[in-house]
Amino acid sequence: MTAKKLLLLSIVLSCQFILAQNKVAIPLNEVVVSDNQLKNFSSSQSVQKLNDSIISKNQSSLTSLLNYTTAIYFKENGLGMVSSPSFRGTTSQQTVVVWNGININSQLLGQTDFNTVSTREFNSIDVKAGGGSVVYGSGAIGGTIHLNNELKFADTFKNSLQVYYGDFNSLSAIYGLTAATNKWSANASFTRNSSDNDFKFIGKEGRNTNGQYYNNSLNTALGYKLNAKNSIKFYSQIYDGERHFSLTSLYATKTKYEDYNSRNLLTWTSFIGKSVSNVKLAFITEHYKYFEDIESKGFSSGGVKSLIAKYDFAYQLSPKMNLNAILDYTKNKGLGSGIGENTREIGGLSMLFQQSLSQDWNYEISARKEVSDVYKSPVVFSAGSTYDFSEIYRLKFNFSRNYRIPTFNDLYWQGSGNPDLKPENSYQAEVGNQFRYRDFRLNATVYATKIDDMIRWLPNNFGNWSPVNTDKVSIYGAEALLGWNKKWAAHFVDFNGTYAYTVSLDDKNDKQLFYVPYHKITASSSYSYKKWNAYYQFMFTGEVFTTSDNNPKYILSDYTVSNFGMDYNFSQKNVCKIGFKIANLWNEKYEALPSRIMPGRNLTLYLNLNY
Amino acid sequence: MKLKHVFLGIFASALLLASCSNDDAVEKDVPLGAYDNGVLILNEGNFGTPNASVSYISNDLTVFMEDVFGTENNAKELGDVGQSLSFYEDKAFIVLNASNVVQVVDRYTFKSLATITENLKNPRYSVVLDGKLYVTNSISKAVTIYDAKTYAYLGTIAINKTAERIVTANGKLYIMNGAYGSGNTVTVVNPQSNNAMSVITVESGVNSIEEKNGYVYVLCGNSTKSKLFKIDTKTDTATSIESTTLKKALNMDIDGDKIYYTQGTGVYAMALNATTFSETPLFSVKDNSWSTFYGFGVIDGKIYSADANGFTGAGIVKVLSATGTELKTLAVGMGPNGFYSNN
Repeated sequence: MTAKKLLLLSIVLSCQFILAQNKVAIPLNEVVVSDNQLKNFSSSQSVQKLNDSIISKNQSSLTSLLNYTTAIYFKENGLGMVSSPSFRGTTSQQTVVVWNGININSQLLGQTDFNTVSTREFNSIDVKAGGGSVVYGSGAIGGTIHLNNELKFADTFKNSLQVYYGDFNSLSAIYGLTAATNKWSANASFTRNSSDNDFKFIGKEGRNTNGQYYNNSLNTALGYKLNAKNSIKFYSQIYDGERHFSLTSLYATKTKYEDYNSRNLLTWTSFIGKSVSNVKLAFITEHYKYFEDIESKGFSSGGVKSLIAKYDFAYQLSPKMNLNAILDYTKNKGLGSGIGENTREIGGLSMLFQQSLSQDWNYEISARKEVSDVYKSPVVFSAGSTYDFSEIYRLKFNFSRNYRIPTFNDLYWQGSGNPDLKPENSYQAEVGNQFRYRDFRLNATVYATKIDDMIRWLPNNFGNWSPVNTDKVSIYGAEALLGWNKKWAAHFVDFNGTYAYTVSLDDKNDKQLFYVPYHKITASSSYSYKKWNAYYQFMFTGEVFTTSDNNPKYILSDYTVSNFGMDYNFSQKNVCKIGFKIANLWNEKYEALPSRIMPGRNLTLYLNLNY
Repeated sequence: MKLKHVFLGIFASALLLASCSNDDAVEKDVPLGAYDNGVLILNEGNFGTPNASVSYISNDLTVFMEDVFGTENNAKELGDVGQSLSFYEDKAFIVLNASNVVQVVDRYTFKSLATITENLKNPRYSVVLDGKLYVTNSISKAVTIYDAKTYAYLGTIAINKTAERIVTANGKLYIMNGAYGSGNTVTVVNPQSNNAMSVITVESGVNSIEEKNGYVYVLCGNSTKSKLFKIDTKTDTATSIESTTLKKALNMDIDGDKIYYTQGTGVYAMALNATTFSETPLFSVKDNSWSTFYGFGVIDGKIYSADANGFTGAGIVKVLSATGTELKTLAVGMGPNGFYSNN
């Protein structure tokens, strides 16, 4: 039945909104980042930076990149299909994807589908663990993923081309152009990913059917310095993709899903005395079409257009004290088969303050209050401090309150939506230990999170499905991030590893939340000698329960997947690399979700040019 | 294999119980298989995952078996979203909505007999009339027809409206054109006169349909009223009763000479010839997960309720007396949605 399927699909994908960042860009550096708060107000939390060399070694989807490099667990409905994160034991809607400082989680579903973000068009991707609602708004409970375009103001003219081609007719290509002077800067890229995705199952008859997909993405960043004190920046991204959804049973009806997303952001920055003001205007659209039977023309569709206006004012009270105020306004307009036409307006004020008490001791506090015509939202806050005991060791502490508002589907789904929903509410505390010794880096963090009023869709006694504020969850866990590198003569070795231990308990029965593994490990190592480079990636995901009663009959087994790649650079001065990568080297048979079989060993060849 | 022994034991004890319980009965009901003389519970499973299953509870509530299809067929998957089940002679037809499959099994042994796949487009419900299996399909809005013995595809009847529950009466098919709160008609198809079709308008929120003594009863419930239609199948004209105080009635099931239904967390009953709705519940159940009556059935005066448990863990089936006394509580498969008396 159509309505039910669509509804279930919505639930599967599942909630949310938009707010963004802020804060002082200390005098114009040569490289301008788009998200100042991440840089200036995140010192008491754990931030992991993935640079372009890490990005290029991984497959082009955000799922694949983060699966092999971070502690985040992914529920992937088969390769390239709908993919949801669980960060620090939270749900899919409790991780926010932030594009150049703007929260881009779907207003309809509340989450980002991590297989609809291609990674190679970004200069860097940061992964910040823990709460961030003061700056990034709704959904920033488990953590935030930051997609960054950087603008460089220095004479540059560069072309780059990366082409990857492999098994299952999988293609990933990106062409990029960077041009800049000290007055203006431009950066544009076009990405194409596609695959037949018809791999043979391991240890079972048959192939993955109806899994083909493609997506195109156009990304632009422009910057212009009007004078010494004023600059204008413009960021834009257009994403267009179509995915067929792989079948889990032989005769099932073939379906497909199309996404069309556009994001535009205009920023005007001025430096006046000891202050920096940023005026930001963003226009973001999301639109989907779902074909419940690809043999017929019918489809359902929906979309949301969002306008975000923001005034971000940062003031340096003294060399050791910074104040930042952000006033914002968001208007979301939704229209679709299931939700009718609805508008939501939100206004908010965030205040951030940071002070260095001594050379070694720093603290930051912030709070946000928003007002909406649709829901009541709590005052959210964050308070944190760092202390350097020595050159080697830094102690961090952070406590925050975060929230997630109901989505358009939650509120307005015809016949099911619940206009009385409250936002989900969370408190989180963490203690981080940061060690640096020569070439070693180790971050060890313990945290505890309490979440209540969690929104869930449940069938009710009136023969319908409807969302309600129900579950309470208590989470605690530990994370470790390890890094090491060494250079000698023409050799370079580096190693990165992550480990997460996560206990996420449903308060109702004290059982582990389903689809949250207790353990996850990633490790990667690369070795370069002159123009040769080889790398190995490893990921272990512990077993997960698939039912709320933790029935041992329905456990999804743990899996260990490794990749190996190697390349050679032919160019002396620039990049002209040819290489290969073998994914799932040991041909592990695994499923990230029940009946969603993942591919076995497969090969990709690639070419990277940069001139 | 160990399970087999368990089975034999259960089978033997079922025999024993059956033979002692009817001391002075004349009939000798020899079970035709391990799953005779009981109730089949269909668990629909999670959408997108082929984990539908069938559980079995004996009529005397002493023998309970999980996943009888998997157990009897070498752990074969039943399919994705077990929507409904119908019987014909010694067979059961299990409709798997998202798999586009009808699994045919021996209703008493649960051995798989066949798998029907032809022309199914999100099949919903089925019924057999004159040796033909009629299956409603939601995507194609059509009824597909199969030989109930050879399972050969015989044809399609376009309904062009939501095709949901289907019953037979007086040699005709009655198809409910509504689901999930929408729809207000019943389509009548007469296979004896070249599938001639007519439409009977009922009330919006049509949700259940049952045949009894040559009449077809149709329950509709919406936010302003509940309405029960009684269709005379000779003339295909309907009379109705309604309540504007008891709104959104659901889950009609006729047992004996009573019409049972639910509203919210209450269970209600009224006579077949009632002229007004009964607005006082027989009893109410505690509502703990918003889906206490995801499945509902009344068999031999016992009330069966299925709590889908949010589709995240084992569904909970409660067997209750007519006054609400709990006779049995069972943890079944994922998302139980229906009860089928198998005698």
